[in-house]
Amino acid sequence: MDDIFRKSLIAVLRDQLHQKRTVELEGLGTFKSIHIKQYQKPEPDGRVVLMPPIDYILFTPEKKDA
Amino acid sequence: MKITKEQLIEQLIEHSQLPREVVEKEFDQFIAETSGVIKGNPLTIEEMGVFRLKKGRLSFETDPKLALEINYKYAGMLPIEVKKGQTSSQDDEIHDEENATSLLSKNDDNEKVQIGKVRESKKEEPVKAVEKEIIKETSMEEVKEEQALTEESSDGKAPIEEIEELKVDATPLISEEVKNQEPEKTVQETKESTNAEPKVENVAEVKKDTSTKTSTKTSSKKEDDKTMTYATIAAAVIIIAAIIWFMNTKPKEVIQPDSEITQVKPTVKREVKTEEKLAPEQTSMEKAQSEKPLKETKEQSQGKSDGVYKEGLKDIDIKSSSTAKLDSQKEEIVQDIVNQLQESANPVVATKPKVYYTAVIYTLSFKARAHQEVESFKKKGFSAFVKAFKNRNNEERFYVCIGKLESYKDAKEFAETKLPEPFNSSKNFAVKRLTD
Repeated sequence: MDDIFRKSLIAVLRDQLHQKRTVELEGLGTFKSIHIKQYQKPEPDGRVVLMPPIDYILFTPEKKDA
Repeated sequence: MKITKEQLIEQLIEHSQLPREVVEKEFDQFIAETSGVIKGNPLTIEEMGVFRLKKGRLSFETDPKLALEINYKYAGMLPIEVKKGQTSSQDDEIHDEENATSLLSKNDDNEKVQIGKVRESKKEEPVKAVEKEIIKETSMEEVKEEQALTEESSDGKAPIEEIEELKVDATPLISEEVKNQEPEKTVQETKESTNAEPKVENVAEVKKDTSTKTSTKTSSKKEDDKTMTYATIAAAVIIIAAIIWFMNTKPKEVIQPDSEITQVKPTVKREVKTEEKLAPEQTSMEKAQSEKPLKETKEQSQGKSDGVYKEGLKDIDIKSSSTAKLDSQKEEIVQDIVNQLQESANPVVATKPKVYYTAVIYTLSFKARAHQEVESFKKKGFSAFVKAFKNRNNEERFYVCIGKLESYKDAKEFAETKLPEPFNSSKNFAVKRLTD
């Protein structure tokens, strides 16, 4: 893969995800930016942990006909 | 919002500055490589992530750098341990509800009491506890005394019927007091228990005292508050009344001498004028009389004692009676002189100000400039003049006015018809009502 193309692909993907857009690549799948609010997570030892909010990339592969 | 393949290619072309064919080719190659993951090895793209096959499904693990760029808002935030009791406000509410329900369950007498009311009673708990202690202490002491008495009586010295009764009644009390050692029992229960024993008068009295004490505590607080409010209101009313009284009384004292002085002064002048026509003996007498009140009025104005002030009044009366003796012709002459003097003193009062309407062409801040304009209009044959005034900011301004007319209509007509061209339109002049 060409280095310029790779870098530009990453940059475009990042920009689109920053704008909360879903990037759909035919034959591959979709990249989506997901936001999870802070939440309280009970630990098995009885402690309760407050988890910070997070933005992450969710990749969903394209469904292929069997 | 979705971005399709075409849009993505457009953006890639824009970003990479590569030709369209190259970009499309690279893109197709990229798709082919990623789809090839299904067949075999994982595909790693630098600074993007890894495409991997997991459980027969294509998955993507984001590169830490890209993940950080996406999650830049919350980067560096770590999980925080939270204690169980302080997890959230909802939990607190649940705890409160649990407490309330537990209190409700404890409160057997009033099952229908609301949560809020239970909380209120919770606040009053310390008072109740004090009551309990007082009751217990008093009752126990008395019981001890009673026991001592009974012991004395049991010694066989003097069996008194009353003491025996006390002994009989006191024993169940002790048992009940022992039962009452449980902290959760209310005062009402103890009261009920005591009410069940009407024979023990002392105990009953003590309970009455305690109940009255508690009731008086709360009632006395309320009464104190009420009395405080009443006292403040009363004090405020008294102060206001005093101020009003002071305001009403003091000016009278101050104004009266001034009025007297003003009345005296013209009479003095009259006398001075009439001196020329009166006989020398009379003038000497008048002089003597006139000098005295003048001095005294000065003394009054300086704030002498009431005695002196009254004497001054007497003198004024004497003087007025002396003037009454003058002839009517002389009085007329004197009156004329006084009127002339008044007119000369207050010329504004004597003559009414003339009101007129004028067309104002300029409002200028410099007087010289205003006069220049006036001069130029005067040369053209207009009756122009300058009128000074002060604006809202108390700055002196100068109207350049033309014409003095009796009514607004006339002034407007005059301005529209007689004024030269740029000034005769309604935008360029203003009709003002002015006074001389």
